[in-house]
This record gives sequence, structure tokens and C-alpha cells, in this order.
Amino acid sequence: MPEPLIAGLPPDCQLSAGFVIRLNALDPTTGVAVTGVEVTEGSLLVTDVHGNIDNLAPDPLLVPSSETV
Amino acid sequence: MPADVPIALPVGNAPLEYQVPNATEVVPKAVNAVFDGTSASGSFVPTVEFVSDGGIVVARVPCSTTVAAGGSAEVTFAPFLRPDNAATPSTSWPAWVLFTLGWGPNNFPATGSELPFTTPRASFGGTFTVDGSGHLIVPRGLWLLYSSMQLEWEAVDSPPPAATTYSAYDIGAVSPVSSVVLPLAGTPALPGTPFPGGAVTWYTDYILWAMMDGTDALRIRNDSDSALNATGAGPAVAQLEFLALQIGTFS
Repeated sequence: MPEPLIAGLPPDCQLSAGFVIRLNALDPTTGVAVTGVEVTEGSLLVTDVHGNIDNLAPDPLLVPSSETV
Repeated sequence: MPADVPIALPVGNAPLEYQVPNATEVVPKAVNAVFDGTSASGSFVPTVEFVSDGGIVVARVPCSTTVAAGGSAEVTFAPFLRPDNAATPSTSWPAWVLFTLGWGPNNFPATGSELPFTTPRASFGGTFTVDGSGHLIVPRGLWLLYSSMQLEWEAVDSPPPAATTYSAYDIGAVSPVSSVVLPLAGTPALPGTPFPGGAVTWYTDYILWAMMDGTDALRIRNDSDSALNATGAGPAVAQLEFLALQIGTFS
């Protein structure tokens, strides 16, 4: 059972096209990426500033059965 | 029109990336993922990074908890979330130190002389140092300083002047580069008559606060007129209670 954790996130941080949201696993001492960590069940909730939702899907995919506008 | 959109990420090894598509701008509201460290090469900190289209990391948000190699964590990143430390509440009380200083007949320190701190009567929660000058150095922080002075003249002593402009002592923050005097002055109504023939006791209490940087020293000094230590005219008993209570910290 994965340990449930929470962490902050910069608020109101508007990311333009080409920006990357990266989920990483860093060594606590060196800050270097740790290998062998698998990221599963990843999901994002973002505000689509311009409302052109078609651009967001299918890259990668909308959450199945989720409601969108 | 802006809309909130959930996006599923594929399974993959960290670092796992999602690139904002062309002609789109997004504001992340939440990121959630399971970081499975079953095959991790070492302990790790789940982290979200925002990277510009030029490859520059513009934000790096590590989780405050380190996951051991072989462990797993489901982490939710969202604005204003902070780890809940309620399960391990602090058991520490504010640091404080208490001194009781006393003087006998006519040996109260002369005007302009310091009233040196000695061994604390009691203390808690901090490192308190009395240097060779009798100055008190307290840990860095915001301190509430309380002092209470009692001066007692007995019948055998000469009376204190009736109209003494009296500054019992001051407390100064003394550092190598600056000296900030925080005056604790007072003008008590010391009775001149009937005297001698009876005793008179004068109390004064002061409270103030001071920001101490960890090297500043507190000192107490007799800024009174000479009556306090004049032979035959000084108080028979003088006692000072001094309490320093830390009410805040700063970095």
C-alpha cells in the first residue's frame, strides 16, 4: 500500500505550450534523479486557460469517463 | 473559456513528463501519482518540476518526505497543501531563563555600573550564556523581558532623596557592532519623610521585548543617581528578578 503523502504546488503558474510537467524521483542528498522508480496512476488536473480542450486530448489521454466542457 | 481538465498520464519510469500541447496554456491545479520504488536504486523524494520549452526548470517542488528504496508513495501535489504534522505535535515549551540578583546594605553597584548576571536561578529550553562581563546571551529570537526590582530602605539607613529622578537600570542589547539601549526608566515617588524611623520599600516592574540575534547580549546597569550606592543612604536590600521568555523565532 503506497504511503499517502501531500505536497504544495506553485499556485497560478501558467504554463505555455512546450512547457513540461515532470514527475521525478530525486535523491534526497544529491538531487540527482533516482533510477528504477515507476510512476503509475498519474493524473493531472489543469485549468485550460483558452478552453481549447481539443488540444489537450489525446496527449496523452483524458481520464476515462471524466466530464469535460 | 477556461475549463478544468483532468488528464491521465501513462505508466512510465521517472522522470515522467507531460508536455503542454501547441496553442494551449494550462495552470496546474493538482498532480497525483504513485511513485513505486520497488526497484529504486536508492531512497528518493517524489518531486514535480515545471520545465520551460527551453529546458529550464522554472519550479521544482519536492515532497517533504523521503521514500525509502523499495517503498512506494502516492503523492498529491496541489497549491497550499502542506504535510500535516498534527500527529507529532511539538512537546517543547518556549525557552526561558530566570535570574534573582541581590545586594546587601550599601553595596548596590555604583551609578553607571552594571548589575552582572550570575548563575541562572532556573532555565528551560535554550542555551543561555553569561559572559565574563556578566552579560546574558540568549538564543536568536524574539524575547519578552520582564524585570522586577525591589529596593528597601530600613530605619537605620538615611532616607532616599524625596525627589529623586531615578532610572533604576536599563537593559541594553550589546553586540560587537552596535549597542541598542532599551531604557527601563522610572521616577518613583520615594518618600522623604517621615524618615528615618520607618522602612520604605519601592518596587518597579518592567516588561519589554527585544529581538536578539543570538550574539546580542543583555546587560543591566544602574543608571540611578548616586543615592543608591551612597554609604548610609543606599537601600538596605535590593533584589532584582529578571525573566527572559522567548516568544518567537526567526531565521
